[in-house]
Amino acid sequence: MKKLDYLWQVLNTVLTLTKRTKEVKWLIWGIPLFSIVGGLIIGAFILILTGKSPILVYKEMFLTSLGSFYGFSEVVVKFIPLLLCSLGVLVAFRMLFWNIGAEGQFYIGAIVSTGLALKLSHLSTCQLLPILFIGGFAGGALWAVMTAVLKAYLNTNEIITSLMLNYVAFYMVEYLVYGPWKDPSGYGFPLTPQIPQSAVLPTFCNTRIHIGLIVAFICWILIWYLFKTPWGYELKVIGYSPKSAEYIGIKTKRNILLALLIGGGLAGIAGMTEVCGLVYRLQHGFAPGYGYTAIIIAWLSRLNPLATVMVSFFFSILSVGAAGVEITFKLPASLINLIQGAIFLCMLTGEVFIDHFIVKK
Amino acid sequence: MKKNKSTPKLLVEMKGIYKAFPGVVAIDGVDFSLEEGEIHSLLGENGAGKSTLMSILSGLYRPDRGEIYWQGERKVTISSPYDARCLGIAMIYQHFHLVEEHTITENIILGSKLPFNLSLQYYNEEIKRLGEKFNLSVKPTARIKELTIAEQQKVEILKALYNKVKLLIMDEPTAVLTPQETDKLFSILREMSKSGVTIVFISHKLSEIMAIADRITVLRRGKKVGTFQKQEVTPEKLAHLMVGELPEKFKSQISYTPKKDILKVTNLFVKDLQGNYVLKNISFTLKEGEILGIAAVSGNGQNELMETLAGIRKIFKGEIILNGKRIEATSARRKFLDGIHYIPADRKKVGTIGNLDIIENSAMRKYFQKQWQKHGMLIKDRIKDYFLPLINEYKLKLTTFSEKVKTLSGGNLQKLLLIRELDTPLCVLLAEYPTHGLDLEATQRVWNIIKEKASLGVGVIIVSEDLEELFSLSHRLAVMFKGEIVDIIDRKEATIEKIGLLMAGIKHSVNTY
Amino acid sequence: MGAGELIIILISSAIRAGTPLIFAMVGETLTERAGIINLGLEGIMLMGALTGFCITFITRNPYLGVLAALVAGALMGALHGVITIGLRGNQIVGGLALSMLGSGFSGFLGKSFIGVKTCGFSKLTVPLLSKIPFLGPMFFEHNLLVYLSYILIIISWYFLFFTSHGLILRSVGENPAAADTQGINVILIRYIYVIAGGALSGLAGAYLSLAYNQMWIENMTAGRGWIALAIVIFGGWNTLRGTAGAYLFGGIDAFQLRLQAVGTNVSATLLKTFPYLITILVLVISSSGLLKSSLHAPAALGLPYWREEKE
Repeated sequence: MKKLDYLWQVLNTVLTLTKRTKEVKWLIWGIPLFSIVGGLIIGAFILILTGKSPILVYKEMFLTSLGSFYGFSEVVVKFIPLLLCSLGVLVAFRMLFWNIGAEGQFYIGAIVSTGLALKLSHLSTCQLLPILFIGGFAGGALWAVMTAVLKAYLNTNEIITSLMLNYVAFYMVEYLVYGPWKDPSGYGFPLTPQIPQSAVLPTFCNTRIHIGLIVAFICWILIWYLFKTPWGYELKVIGYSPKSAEYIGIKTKRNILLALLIGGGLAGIAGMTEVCGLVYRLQHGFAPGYGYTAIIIAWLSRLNPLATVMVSFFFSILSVGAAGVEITFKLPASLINLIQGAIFLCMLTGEVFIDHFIVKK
Repeated sequence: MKKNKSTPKLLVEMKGIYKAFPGVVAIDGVDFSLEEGEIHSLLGENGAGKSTLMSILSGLYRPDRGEIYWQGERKVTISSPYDARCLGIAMIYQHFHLVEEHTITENIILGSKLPFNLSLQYYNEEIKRLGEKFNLSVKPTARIKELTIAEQQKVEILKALYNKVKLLIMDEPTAVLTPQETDKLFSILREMSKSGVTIVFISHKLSEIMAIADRITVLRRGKKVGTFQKQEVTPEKLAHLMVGELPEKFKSQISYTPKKDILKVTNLFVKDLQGNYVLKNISFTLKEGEILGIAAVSGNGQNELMETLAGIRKIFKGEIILNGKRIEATSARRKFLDGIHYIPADRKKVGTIGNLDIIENSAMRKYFQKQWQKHGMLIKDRIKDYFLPLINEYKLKLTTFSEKVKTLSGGNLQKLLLIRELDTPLCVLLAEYPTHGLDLEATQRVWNIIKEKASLGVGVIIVSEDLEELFSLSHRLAVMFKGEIVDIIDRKEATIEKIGLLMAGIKHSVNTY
Repeated sequence: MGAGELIIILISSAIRAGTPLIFAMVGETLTERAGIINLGLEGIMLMGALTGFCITFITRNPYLGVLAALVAGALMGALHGVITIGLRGNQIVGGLALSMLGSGFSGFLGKSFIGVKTCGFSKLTVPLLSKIPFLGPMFFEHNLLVYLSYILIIISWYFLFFTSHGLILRSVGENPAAADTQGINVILIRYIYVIAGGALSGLAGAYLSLAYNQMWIENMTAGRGWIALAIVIFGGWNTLRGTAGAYLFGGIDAFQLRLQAVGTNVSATLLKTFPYLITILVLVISSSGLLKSSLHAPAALGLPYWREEKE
């Protein structure tokens, strides 16, 4: 043990981490940028391992997403739920409340809006769509508030709770599409009947881009605004120093509930737009993990709403690109998860250097 | 073991020590040596470098330059607490390094050469014997969290003795003790010194140093001013050496004419989350312009009382009346707006938020008010403009307004806190350890501000572990013990001994200690 | 089928299903006792499952597979260590990232192994002990890894509370400064146990792909990594009590599988939500303080440690 210890001391004294005295501004956006590059590089290594050329794959990825009008519109389509989910995660994370449940909130929003759409098919578009938006919001909000209540009042770990609820929500979808909501004319496939035309979100021109885009932008501006209000300030204080929040009388519990209501609601709207704008039904495996990607996006954008838009957009590009190369290069769908995970990891190793630097002793 | 007084053997010699941290030079070329078996006091203002210098000996820090010689000629490098421990150096910090959940034995034997299979029984007995030998009886199976602060300090000393300490360094050990406990500590230290242990006693309390030390080294701003035998100096001379110029003779409070009540607390009972009483039957009155000092050993409810008055804790029973209005059920925010302002003990983690900037910290109390908003959004410039006059008046040193508060020095941080908490309307100021960690200049400034506000009619309640501070500032002194107010005495009738006994819970002393 | 036989089958299934949770729970208990929280268990288990499966397939030796899984888990634990200890990164987000990376990585590399068959760990009946009426078939008719888990439970419990190393480990998690002053290398200890925890989680994954299911499916852990985290809390950072939790979950898992097989009115899918809901319930009870006794987390859990540098 002593020899290990000695070796250790030697290693430790060569390089140490020291706090910076002056802020290096460019690192704040530089590190996330480097993380993205780093993640792509790691992805490249893995591709080489499996015998594919990373240059060709990446080129094809970006060509797919940015090289054609159709590709670009697909990017925007994916961007909508990603942005909404990311904003939802952002609101919670600002308080250092680890809402990992965006995925589940997304599902519940989808469930509620599908259910409402199928039941209220007699209503017109103008009547139905607002109801569906509210329903989606409410579903996601309720799902998130459960986690919030357990944490605020019973001190239950929110990470595990929200995660468990993700699984529950997933199985609820499964239950509905295999069971009570299964389309009788669907040849036994696990999906619901298609939602009525009145529930479909109008699109722009010939693309699949639906008005969810407008909703997403409105939500984005709202969140940006909220962060600047006294309430946003309160969230920040709760996150940075819960004891100080108590000291100045901030109602922490109430804020947690409110923040998660909004956060969950945003993810719920994302679920609703996915159903009403894209898939037009509830079906098995319809959600490509937006809730988890949202976490990465929130972290990379360092909880800044302005950056969130850019990072979400970039991840949409990646996502569409990955789907494109999946078939051509015979790559597993989890390639995108791999790259995303690598980017996340690079960000975590890199962000230390925003506040610290390495000193040789 | 007799000390050879004619040629004292050097235990440690530190030569040319230099240590800097980002932004500040803590130790600037200091030579320091210790004779075997002496009790050596390291004196200096807060921030003078005493703790840093000793932390180099204890292995916590490594000097940037300089050499250390151990027992004569041997040059050593102390690069970790492990190295220090091997040499026989032990340091007891202000916040004890004890594992609360574990027993005394488990704490003491940690780090010793232990067999794989641990039989605590054997060690329990060993430690019991050790305690009895040094007049430090303890119950080895007790858990640290069950012990009082003074008892915990005993454990720390036992720990050092168990590790066969040759050099024991104590950092401000009396801050948490009553005067009687301090006397007991001193007798223990003298015993240890007689048996050959060298002791370094870091303090800024002149009277204690004169009582315990054989030799005294004075540090000022990272440099050594000098080393003296006890006989060579007087408290006044030491104070002069510490600060560099003659300190202002601090005048005691002149008696004032009683004015009307500003704060009245009646039969206050407060419970904690587990349902235990932390405050029992607290009753007192605070008058306009009065400074009430609260003396108590750490953990006897003074902190809880402050938090309750500030609105952070919920009361169980009782009344708090401010200017005739009952406010015991109102929130912290409401209490602030009504005029009760609170400077908490923990400046860094509670009173301010390190990772937010100066403006955001200043806004903490009134961020919700409309004047600072435009279309509902907080406007930083308006906040800045509001506080700018006070920032200039108190000469708060800062490079930009957007720098994070964690970069501020202790004194500057306290200034920021004062600027914010002295904002109108101010009726009652609650100050907890307001000068803790501040150098003399900053301390004087805080005292002057407190006196000034009191003279303007503000009622002040000040909690401090420094009895001298309380004696200088207060009109009346309240002593708390186990969540109750034992007594409230007029300053004129109070003596250190009396207060000390009350702090230990002894209301009527049969014999003086 | 008599009641007795039913109980034997249920408990025996509970043990088999709960074993991966045992491995992961013991590993994470050690890690958290040192003060580090590793949320990457799900990803580490998946990587362990895949690695174990791959290597077993290639070498036709399940023991080498297990070894490879241990190494894979250890490496991921080391990565978590570097981020959280060396770089003082946020432990929670770091663990999440590790989980995502692990699941993405394993999904990607494992594509070609879906549906492949390989050898694994089959039932190994313990000679004398399995003859004990009632208890024998319950505990002693499992595969080798299950027996390994029994040993692990006892060793880890003893290690934690009755050895000097256990004392050191617990002290580091409660008050690293105190341990540091006593000359203990806090950082080294933390690295050791985060790596050990990772290795054990890797083993948990290998159990799934080599013993429990003997195949590779993408995301085959189905959230067990997260459940293991809840069990650590439920067990009060005590591996013996955590065992109860692990087998409880194993039981629920096995129970809902049985119900599915038997065919009940309640939808099989809804039954699948059961383990997750119970986890939440268990967590709520553990954390709310309704249960007395030492459900106190290591005081320094989640906080990075370095020797204080002045401001």
